[in-house]
Amino acid sequence: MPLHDDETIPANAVLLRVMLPGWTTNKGGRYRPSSLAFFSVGQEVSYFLDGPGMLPELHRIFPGLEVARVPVLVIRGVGFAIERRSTECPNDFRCERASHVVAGPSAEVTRIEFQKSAGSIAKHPDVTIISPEPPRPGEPRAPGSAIQ
Amino acid sequence: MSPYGSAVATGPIVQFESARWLPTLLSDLRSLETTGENIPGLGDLRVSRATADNVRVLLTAISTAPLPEPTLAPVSGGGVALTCNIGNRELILTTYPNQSDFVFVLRNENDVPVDEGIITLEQRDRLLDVIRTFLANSAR
Repeated sequence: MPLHDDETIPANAVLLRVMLPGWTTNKGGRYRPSSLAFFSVGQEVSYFLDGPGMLPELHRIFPGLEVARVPVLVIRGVGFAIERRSTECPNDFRCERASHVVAGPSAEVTRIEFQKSAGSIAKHPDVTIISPEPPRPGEPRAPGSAIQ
Repeated sequence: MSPYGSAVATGPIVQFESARWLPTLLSDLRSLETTGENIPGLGDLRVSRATADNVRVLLTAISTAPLPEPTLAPVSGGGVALTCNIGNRELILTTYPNQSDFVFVLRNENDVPVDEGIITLEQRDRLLDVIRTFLANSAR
């Protein structure tokens, strides 16, 4: 469903995208997200607005998983809107629930067009990967980590 | 027999034995199908039987081409992406739920898309053309 851009999300904000193994690539000596990290059948991709305590919280909920840092300008630069989705936040989320957002086109686009935009986000030089914190002894496995 | 028909085994690009990676990827696919979860904040990674079946058809069809070992990864919303790399060159074939086709994108050494589109499961020749282009340009 087309999204409505939330103007309360400032242009200088940064979004964080949790990534599964297999959603990264190494091209031209640069380790970065693969376009797969930004593919979505429903054309909505989950992110979290960066802010105080957000990264440690993501490391707590998704232990061992890498996180991509994506400036809002990059998302809007491909024509995507950003919408808050507090109801789709993880249940035990300990930060501001309105920090969970989804990004996608503001009008319906084809799968090819969506994938092109995903590729543009992934390749943008300002999109970087934050390494996961080293796991602590006895720490639970990350959800989804059994996939690969 | 696959929807691509037996000609897959006798076409010009398929003069090779089935790839060694096929059993591993079929196992990976089974894992995606059985362990995928809907994870708030990350995505719905559940892969339906029908989607997995389409990926199996695709894997079987390309397993006779001399591709380097591909990888499978879930796509948020129930899709599955197959990625194949030769250096910086990349071929991604994405299967979507409830669709009997897949989206492909072929990127060159400069990470620029040089071909992309949608191929149905019946378009064997188009699929083989894409793979042939990927392999031919990689050899330059």
